[in-house]
Amino acid sequence: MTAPPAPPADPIRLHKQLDAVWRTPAGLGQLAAVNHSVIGRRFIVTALVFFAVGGILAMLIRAQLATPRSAFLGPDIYNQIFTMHGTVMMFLFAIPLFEGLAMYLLPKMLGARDMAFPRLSAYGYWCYLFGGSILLLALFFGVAPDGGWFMYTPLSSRTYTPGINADVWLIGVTFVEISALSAAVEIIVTVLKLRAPGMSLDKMPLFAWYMLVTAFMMLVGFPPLILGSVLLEVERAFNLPFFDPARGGDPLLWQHLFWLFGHPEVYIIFLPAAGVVSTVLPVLARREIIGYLWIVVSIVALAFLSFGLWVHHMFTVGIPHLALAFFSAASTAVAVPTAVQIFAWIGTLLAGRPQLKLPMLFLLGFFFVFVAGGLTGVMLAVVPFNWQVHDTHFVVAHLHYVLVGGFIFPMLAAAYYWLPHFTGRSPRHSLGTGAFWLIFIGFNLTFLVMHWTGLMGMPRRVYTYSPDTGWEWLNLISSIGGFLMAMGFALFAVDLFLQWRFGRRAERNPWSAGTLEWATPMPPPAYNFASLPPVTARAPLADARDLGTELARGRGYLGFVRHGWLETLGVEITSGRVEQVVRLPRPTYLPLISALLTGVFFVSVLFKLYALAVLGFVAAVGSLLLWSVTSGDRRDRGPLPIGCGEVAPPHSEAPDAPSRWAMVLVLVADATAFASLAFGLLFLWVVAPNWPPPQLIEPGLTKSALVIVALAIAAWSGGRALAPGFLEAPSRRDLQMIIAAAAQTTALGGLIAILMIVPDPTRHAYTAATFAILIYAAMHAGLGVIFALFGLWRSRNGYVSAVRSLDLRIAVLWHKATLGIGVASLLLIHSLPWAMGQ
Amino acid sequence: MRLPAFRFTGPAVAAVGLTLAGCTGPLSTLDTAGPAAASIATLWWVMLAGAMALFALVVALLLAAFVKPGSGAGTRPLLWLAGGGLVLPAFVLTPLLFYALWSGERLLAHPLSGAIRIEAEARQWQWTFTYPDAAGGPRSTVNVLHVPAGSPVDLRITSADVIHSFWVPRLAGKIDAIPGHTNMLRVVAERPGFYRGVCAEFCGTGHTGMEVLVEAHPPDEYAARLVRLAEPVH
Amino acid sequence: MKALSQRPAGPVFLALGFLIWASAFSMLYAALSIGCELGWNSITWGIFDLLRLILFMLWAGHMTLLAWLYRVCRKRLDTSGEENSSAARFLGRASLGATMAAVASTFWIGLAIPLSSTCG
Repeated sequence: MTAPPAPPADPIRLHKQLDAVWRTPAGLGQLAAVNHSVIGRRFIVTALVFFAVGGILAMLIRAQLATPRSAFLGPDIYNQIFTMHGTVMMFLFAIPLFEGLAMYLLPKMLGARDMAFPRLSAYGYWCYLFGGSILLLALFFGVAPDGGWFMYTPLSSRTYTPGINADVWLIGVTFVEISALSAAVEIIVTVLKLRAPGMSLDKMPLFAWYMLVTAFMMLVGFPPLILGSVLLEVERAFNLPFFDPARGGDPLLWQHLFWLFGHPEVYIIFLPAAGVVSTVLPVLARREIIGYLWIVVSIVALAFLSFGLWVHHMFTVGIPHLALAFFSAASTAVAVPTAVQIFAWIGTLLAGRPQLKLPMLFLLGFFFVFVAGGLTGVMLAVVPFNWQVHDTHFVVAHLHYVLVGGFIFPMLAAAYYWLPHFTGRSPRHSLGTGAFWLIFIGFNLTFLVMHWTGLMGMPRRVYTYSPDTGWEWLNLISSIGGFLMAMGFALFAVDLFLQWRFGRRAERNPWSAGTLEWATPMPPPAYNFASLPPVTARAPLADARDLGTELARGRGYLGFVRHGWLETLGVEITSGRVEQVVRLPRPTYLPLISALLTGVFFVSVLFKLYALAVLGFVAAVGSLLLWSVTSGDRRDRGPLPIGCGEVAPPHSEAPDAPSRWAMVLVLVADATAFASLAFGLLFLWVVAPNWPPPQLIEPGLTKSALVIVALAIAAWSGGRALAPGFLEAPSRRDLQMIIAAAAQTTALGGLIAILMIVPDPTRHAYTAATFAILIYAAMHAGLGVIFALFGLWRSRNGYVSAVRSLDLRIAVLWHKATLGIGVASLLLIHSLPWAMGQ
Repeated sequence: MRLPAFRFTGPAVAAVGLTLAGCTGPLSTLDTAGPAAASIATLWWVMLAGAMALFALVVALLLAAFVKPGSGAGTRPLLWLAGGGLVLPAFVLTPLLFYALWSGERLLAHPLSGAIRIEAEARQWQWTFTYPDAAGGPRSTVNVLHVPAGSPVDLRITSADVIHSFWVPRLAGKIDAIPGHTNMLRVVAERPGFYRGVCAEFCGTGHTGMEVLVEAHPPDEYAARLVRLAEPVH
Repeated sequence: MKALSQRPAGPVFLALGFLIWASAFSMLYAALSIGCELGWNSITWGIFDLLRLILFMLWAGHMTLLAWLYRVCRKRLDTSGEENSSAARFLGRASLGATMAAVASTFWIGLAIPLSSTCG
């Protein structure tokens, strides 16, 4: 154990040393950026560009609907426009915007140098950019999706949408969702593990709690959509009838899978914005927020309850009465945790001395608009009322109130609040107040009357209407309001630009806030903090005004550069006690290359070039494996000095390293996707027409038993490689990994053999779903082979030792998960024919 | 001033609302011509009143925070968190849920003998109605639905292609037409007349024009009217 | 049981109550869907029917689980005292709150069982 490098005499030298290793190179090197501030900014800017696109689409809609029998747009184009408006806003604007904000803010608020997986941040950004570009290009070429942003089948199936439009949606959105899932994994691990020493869970900023909960929701909420999209694409491309009622499929399956994602999605969008409110409001009210614990409990409740509401989007499809009652009850219940937060905020305002600065103005706009939206939401939860206004402009009004009120207004507040941090400048004269009033008045003009339009009977997604409906004045007012609102947003964009270019130098911590992000220089250097702060309270800056200067002098942890490494600290989840030193990657082009290869896969599928798609897939997986070449260590290091007289092991030698957590979380998402698939099969069996299928699949017990035994051996020997007596002996542990690889190969072979006896999967949904489940299990076994061989390679190349077993521990998790999936798949496949025979 | 008897409150509220806001219209959910729509319209006015009261409360509190800063400094946080966050919603949502379940039950099409059965099939982009019990053999119409005024009609609805939705706002709520499924909607038109309906689920480029017209006949003329309709095309 | 109520609070307890709620909700909806398809609502004894009975038992079973979890959380909180860190105490109180919320949520959806017709 060596003593730490002697701290440099002054902050400038320390800054130069840190900046040399942490900064992103200029020019083409910008494409290799992995730093969270850079990637976070990119997410935000790209999201704002997509917002402008979505806004223009909205203006086209309002221009068309301003007058009856308008000849401006025909139905074909109009259908593409409203579909893209929804798709762009929900997938390409809202989620990436808060991802970017979270990515930028979280490490700073938590007292860390970067997110947990910087290369994953970069990969996620590129996937978002490329997936979003596919959708935009389709719009440009006139083949944009045109089935509504929720793409109901059978309209979106090949029979009724023969063109490439629906495939663009399915593939483009899935590509973008990789970005969402990777962000979710990264946010969870960052919030749980990468905090400043001493920052226990109860001292964490509320924004981190909100993001933690949101990320878990994303982890569990996106897989049903991804699975559904894959199934629909497979149906369109290969004619497997998951949603075709004539062959035992059901259009309702799509609706369940979509809304199982779709309802949590809107809370996924709301919660980060509520996190902004919980952060900004107390600062501007000059009082600590009341009810920190109540808020934490409320957002946990909200996260879970939001997964129990999805059928309220389907009240008119003919489900059993008691189900209507369940979902109606659950939908009203979700108002309670929301109300707790609203009253916590109101109570904080009333107990404090609120300042009507610009962010606060936008927060007041949030209260006004979001509460109204929440109230109409409770109305919509009442089933009889829902039966009248479902699929009318009343719902359009409601959803815009909760989304614009609940997301846009807080984000506008966030923009003005954190812009000094991003840019280092404060506004001289702000156009923000003018922008606020234009947006606020324009928005209410557009959407308040729209409730009435819906009650007057105007359905959704109509491209025109006749003059005798009584809707003309209402639509005209909405359209005028829309243009006012657009002017307001344009003014906001101008104001942002002016502040960025011409603002005066901002003072440190202009809002006198207490959270750690204000302890960095503004704009922040790539490494955030020259040394990391020990934390003992919820608002570290409140008691230590000059914390930033102290940290810049290297007085905290890790106030040095060791071997040119990029280091931050990992802590124990609950207590915040230091546990490990996490080494982070330098800028690299690999995430871009992996994203490009992933893009090759997706675009090939889109254009039905399946051979190229397979190549793209293999190349993408290969490139992802390449990331690991620079990960891990070839030597045992032992505990390393981290400053302040303490030591900690490097993460490759720590029991609870970030990458192990990443695998656990990936497996949670994986399990959710598998559960959705199993649900699909069971749902079709119980509810879909034209069951039972013409032919049952009975694979015979021998093959299935062989598969399960092989998977069990893989899990067992993978674990044995870690056992005492094996881990330290390279040849013995390598043998275990070879056995694991062989076992996975056997399992894969067995599953393929079972697949061979499945009759034509295009004949009936039963065969199609069985086929899908077996493919799912087979892919896991295949990846199991790769994990085992990869572990072997790492072992042979010096990355594994008695204290460095991370690769093997991660692989064992995969083997165990594959065993679980294998058992569940085969149980399902064997028991269904038996149950059908009863 | 004594409140009027409960059964007058609904129509009274509706009448006030109607006059105040100009809610008439051929597709208006608030210009009702059937008991189901009428019940839902009353529900709407009651919920609107409640929502406005709650909204006013929130706005008042926000105003107070800025007009009288620090006025809540001595208030116990539990008043906001438990009082506003738990007790207030409980008091509002419990009666609302009970009322919602109760009125929902009344609107559902429980088995009723004597209801007239009509089949509806949606396709891109028209409605085909079949009257299996017409005297003289089954009859069929396209885009026009003939019903007797004042009697419950049980519509069995399905689709031949994509998902559509049958909705006549002045009479009742909507129900989706889903291929492979048959859903039931009970419709009652109180008085003879014409009632417009729309397809309320996006179904492609012809969605906008996919309308339906309900013609309610005086009950004694209904059977005769049916006989004069065309026979179903096979 | 003794071990569970004396180990320091982990964040998992924050989610356990609602995981039970999620199980209740899923099982109730699944049982309802299967029961309506298989006609369990037609098997009646007086005013009771098989479907409602099964739903009630599923609900009651989960409420029992939640009651047990509540007791465990309560015990952990009462016995934690000053030797535990602020974080552990915070998590203990938050877990209790979350469990109470889960109890209320599960109770609330159970109200629908007697108050609504089952299938249609």
